[in-house]
Amino acid sequence: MERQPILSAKDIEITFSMRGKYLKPIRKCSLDLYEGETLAIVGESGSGKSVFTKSFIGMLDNNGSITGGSIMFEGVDIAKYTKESDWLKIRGKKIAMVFQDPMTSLNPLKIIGEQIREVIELHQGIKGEESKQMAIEMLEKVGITDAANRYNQYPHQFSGGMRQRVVIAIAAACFPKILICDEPTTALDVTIQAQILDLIRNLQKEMGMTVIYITHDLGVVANVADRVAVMYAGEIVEVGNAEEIFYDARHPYTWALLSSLPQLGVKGEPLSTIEGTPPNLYQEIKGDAFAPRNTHALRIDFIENPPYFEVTPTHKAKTWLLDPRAPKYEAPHAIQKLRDKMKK
Amino acid sequence: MLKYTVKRLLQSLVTVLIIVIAVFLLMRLMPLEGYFGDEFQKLTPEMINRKLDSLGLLDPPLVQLFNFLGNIVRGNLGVSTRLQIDVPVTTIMMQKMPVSAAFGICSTLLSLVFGIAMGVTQARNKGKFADSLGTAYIIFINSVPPLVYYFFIQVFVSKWFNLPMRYSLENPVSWILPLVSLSLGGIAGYALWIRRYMVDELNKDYIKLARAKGLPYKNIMYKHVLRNAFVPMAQYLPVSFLMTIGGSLLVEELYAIPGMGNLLVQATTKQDNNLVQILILVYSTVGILGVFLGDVLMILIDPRITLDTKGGSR
Amino acid sequence: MEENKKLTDQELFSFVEFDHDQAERTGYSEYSYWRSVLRTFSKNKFAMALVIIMLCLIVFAFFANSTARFPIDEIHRTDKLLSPDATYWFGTDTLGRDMWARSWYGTTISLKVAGVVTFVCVIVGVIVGCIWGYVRATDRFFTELYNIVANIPETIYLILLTYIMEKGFWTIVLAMCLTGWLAMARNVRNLVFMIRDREYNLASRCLGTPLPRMISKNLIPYLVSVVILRMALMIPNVISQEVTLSYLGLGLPATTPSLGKLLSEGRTKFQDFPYLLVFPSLIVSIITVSFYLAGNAFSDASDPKNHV
Repeated sequence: MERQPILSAKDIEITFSMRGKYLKPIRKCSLDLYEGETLAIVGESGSGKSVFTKSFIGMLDNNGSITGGSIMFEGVDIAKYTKESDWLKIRGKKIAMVFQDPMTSLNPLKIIGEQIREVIELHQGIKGEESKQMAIEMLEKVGITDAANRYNQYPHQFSGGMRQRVVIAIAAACFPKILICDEPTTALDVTIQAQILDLIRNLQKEMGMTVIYITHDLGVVANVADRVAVMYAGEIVEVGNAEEIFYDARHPYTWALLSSLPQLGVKGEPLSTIEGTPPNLYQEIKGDAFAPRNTHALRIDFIENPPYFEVTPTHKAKTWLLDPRAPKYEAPHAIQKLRDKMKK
Repeated sequence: MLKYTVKRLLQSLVTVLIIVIAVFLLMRLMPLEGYFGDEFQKLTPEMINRKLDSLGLLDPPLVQLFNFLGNIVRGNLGVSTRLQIDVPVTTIMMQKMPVSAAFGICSTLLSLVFGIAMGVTQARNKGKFADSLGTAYIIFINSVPPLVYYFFIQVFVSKWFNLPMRYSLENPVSWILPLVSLSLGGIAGYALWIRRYMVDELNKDYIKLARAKGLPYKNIMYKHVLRNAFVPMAQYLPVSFLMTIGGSLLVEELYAIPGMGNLLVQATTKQDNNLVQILILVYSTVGILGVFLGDVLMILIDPRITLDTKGGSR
Repeated sequence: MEENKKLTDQELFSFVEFDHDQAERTGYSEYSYWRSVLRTFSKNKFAMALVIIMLCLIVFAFFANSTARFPIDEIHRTDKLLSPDATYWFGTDTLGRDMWARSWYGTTISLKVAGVVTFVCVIVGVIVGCIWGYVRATDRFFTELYNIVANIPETIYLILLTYIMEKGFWTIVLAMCLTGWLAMARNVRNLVFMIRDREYNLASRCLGTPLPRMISKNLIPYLVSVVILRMALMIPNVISQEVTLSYLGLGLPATTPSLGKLLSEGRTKFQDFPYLLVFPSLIVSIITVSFYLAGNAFSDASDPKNHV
């Protein structure tokens, strides 16, 4: 069954100019987003996850720009937008974003009720008492008790978890089609994390939103994701259903990520890590970016960047190991252990 | 809150007291000849002593101090001994203060209005011509000695617009040039501050979220950033307004405005001790009061500040 | 790709041994703070031009002063109030004194005063400010001291000092230093306050770092760029102050033609003899504007956010 994606990014390239030099944090990234799903973008710091999604709402820093590719959303290639007025039609209204740090995301000198209300007034044109009521309802929906009174309080009177709820309320207030959550729980403690994830899940169901999670925490991914995209050095190296990625990962980087989960560690033995560091994006990368750190590297990995190889119609990976010419290989021990563990 | 106010007021009182005493003692170090002017050479020692005695300067300093403080407590602020002999100090001040205060308050208001407008315009047009123009203005005002541009305004601008070069109470047109001169510095100051503040705030996270919410740029500038800008600024407003009672030395001199501007300098050079002391008393009281009011204003306006977070001076 | 053709498929698809060094070849960007500061500063062509102009002007001032044809107080009774001409390049004043010599002499005086005062105030201000901001126990004391000294007008110091020391260069310098260090100290104190409890300082304290080392290694580097900015801004301020004081007749002796004195002398005759005012004003303005601009450009350049 062919579903049409509601957002389709093809071969996106993003370039930043830094101190006179150019760097490409995103090199030909493609991603499809289907309605109603929860997609998780996983990768280490510096892989380009945030930059990629920021380009969907035109919030790249001033020294960055989309230098290639297209983003089809609602029939329009929004990658070609240059004017602020174009982006204003999308931001908050069709695509909303939740940022990582709830402590600094809110205006410290404005009551939080007003910060929700202005979004409602702006995008839905509802003013006055009615918009205030809607804001209070939104607060209740995200689980803030005594919403009518807390409407008048300032951010510093809320705890971190509650502030994140407020930020989610702001993002969801106008029923956007897509909600992008950029590491929404990283700055919170584990107990609050679960609450926030539940909250987003419930809102998603209720409002029919599509959610993109950006995270480096595979635990979160296992919790919420329908589909997973793995990013490395500005490219999506593997994408598939959550089960496929966890049970049947094909790309060496995904193997390495999964292997390094502490849950897979054996007491007394050193934990598995990925040696080395991500590549220098100032320079053109020849071949597969992960090759130097890849314990399963083929010679061709250093010469040519692999294309996508399909494993199933929903699962593809960018690795020469899937090429029919590649030699037989065994998935690492840890991966096999993972499959066993997860089956339990 | 009451406890805080009382505590601060008492602290302020002590500070003012120390200042007044310091000045009092410093004035007693001044050369004796200074009390007499040019005829000093011709006076005999008895005449000198008599004069000094009448000024109360022959008593031991501490006695003088007690007398002085005692008088103040009783409300007797004394008379001027050199500038306007035997005229009560309060009379002198009441003659001159209203003019200085009027000019001061008006020019401060002008500075605020135009300065903020300019700063906002600059922030909105950052990097463009309007910004550069504003910056050029700020640079000019901040670096060139005020005397220089006051001169040029008085001589040239008055010629171009046919404005009077001397102040007179009856002729409102003559108020324009002094007012403008007085406001220039303030405009530069506020513009610079607002511009810098707005540019800094625009980099903050909550502004990023506001943008992601879909708020238009203008909306963010005014309803979020500019509104927030007033809070730290409020702290300095009371002092700015209150200290205008001191008048402006240069402007008042250039336009012959009978204000407080040169009173202190004259009194000091002529060693009119009483006048100097009372002036210092008034100025420092007002200054410290202004700081206190500024702090109170901050507590009232900034929701993040409570009484226990306040402390120290800025 | 030709390279591929040289290798067979079998060779291409053979496993390569893992090279640990290759893995560590990291992404990095060469960043030296001071080099970036210099780079950003020199990109600002306008500021650089002004700095050069200013330096030339200053050097010229001292040069002109020592090579002036006429002494500054020599009266040429027959040549009063002459407009600039071949002999008197800046004209003469009401007493027939050469404006060229007087202007440049005044400039050097103002510069010297500004230089010394700024230097002293910066040193004293920074040291006091660091202690004030860092050692909590001293805060009350210094704050009170600040309140008191700030409220005693400079004129009192000036007059007292003049009495004790006679009018002269060092009198005015001392008086300005007495009041000048305050502003710098308070600035530094505010800065130190801000960074005092940042994590890296907390860490140092926990490790038992002694106070002098804390100040020199943790605080001062952070302060350097701000202090240099304030220094650059202080020079125009001091010159302005000196101009005002001289204009009022305080400070330097009546015979010394500082820029302020020249301005006050030129003021009365300004309408008919504009050159009396124009030259001193121009010189002062160029110097002060250049210092101010250079200071601001430097401050912008030393902000790491601008090193993009």
